[in-house]
Amino acid sequence: MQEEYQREMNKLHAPQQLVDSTKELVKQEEKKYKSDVVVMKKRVATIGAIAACFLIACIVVPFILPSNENNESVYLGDSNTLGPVPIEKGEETPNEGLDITELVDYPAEFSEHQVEEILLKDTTIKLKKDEKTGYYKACLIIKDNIFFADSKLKDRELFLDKLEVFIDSKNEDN
Amino acid sequence: MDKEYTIKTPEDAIDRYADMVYRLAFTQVKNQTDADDIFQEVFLRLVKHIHKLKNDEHVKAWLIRVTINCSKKHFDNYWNKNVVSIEDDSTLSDESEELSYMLHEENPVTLAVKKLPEKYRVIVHLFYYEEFSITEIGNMLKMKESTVKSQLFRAREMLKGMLKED
Repeated sequence: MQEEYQREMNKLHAPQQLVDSTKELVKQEEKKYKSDVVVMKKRVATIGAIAACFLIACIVVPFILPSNENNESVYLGDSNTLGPVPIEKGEETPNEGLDITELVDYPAEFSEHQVEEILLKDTTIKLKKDEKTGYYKACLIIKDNIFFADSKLKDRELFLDKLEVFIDSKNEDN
Repeated sequence: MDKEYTIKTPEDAIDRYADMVYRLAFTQVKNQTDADDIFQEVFLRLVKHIHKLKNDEHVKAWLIRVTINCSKKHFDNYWNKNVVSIEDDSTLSDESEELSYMLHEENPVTLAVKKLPEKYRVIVHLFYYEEFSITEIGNMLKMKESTVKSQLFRAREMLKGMLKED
């Protein structure tokens, strides 16, 4: 049966006219397809170039535009955050070694008995030494503003010297 | 062993596989006109896909699969669902002997194969004529090997029955 089927199938051929006309159609289809591919590639290249320019602009433009940062010096007392005060050459940083914070009220720890009260540059200072760490801290009022000075200083004199410089700087500002 | 890739263009594919595609299409649709249409459609589709095909064997398998798919689309077409060819209409062939001259003088085996349901015809043609293995046929038609085997078995049984009657 298989041989008979193969023999019969072998007699069947694609008509030559059909083959020739198909080849012609295929040639036309190839030309059309190739031009479509070229158009598509151009479009993709254009879109890719635009996307690349956009990406580059997103990266470069922020560096070119002028900065909006405030160039004014940050002075102690202007905010509750820490910040080094810009100094002239030769001058000591007012709060160097000190961690100054402006407060609304005295912290509870300065109401205790172990607090020492001293007068420094006409300013009353509540002085305290941390029992665990040995570091000095102080609370003081300058021009109706309460300041808390924390430090990693175990030397009392050095701490007071720093406080003096800070008090001078606040008085000069005002 | 590297497989050869001598088919670079659709024209090369036509030169090499025209008869194969035509025979398969004709087996499916059973008439020359539709087989001609399917033949052209298959090679026109090849224009857009030939660059994806890796070697000659790949081209051959692709052509067979697309020929089968185009033939199935042909059957799903509204015209073909609602029109019966004179050759297929048993009432006409029974009642009108003078129409017999329009029918081709065909070998009983090929006639029997033509009478098989479409899914069996494909498998019979690919197995007995193109001499593909069960595995290859399964891969081409996206069927399990067991399904191909059972359909081939059923087709053989039907052919035996038809040929016995003749």
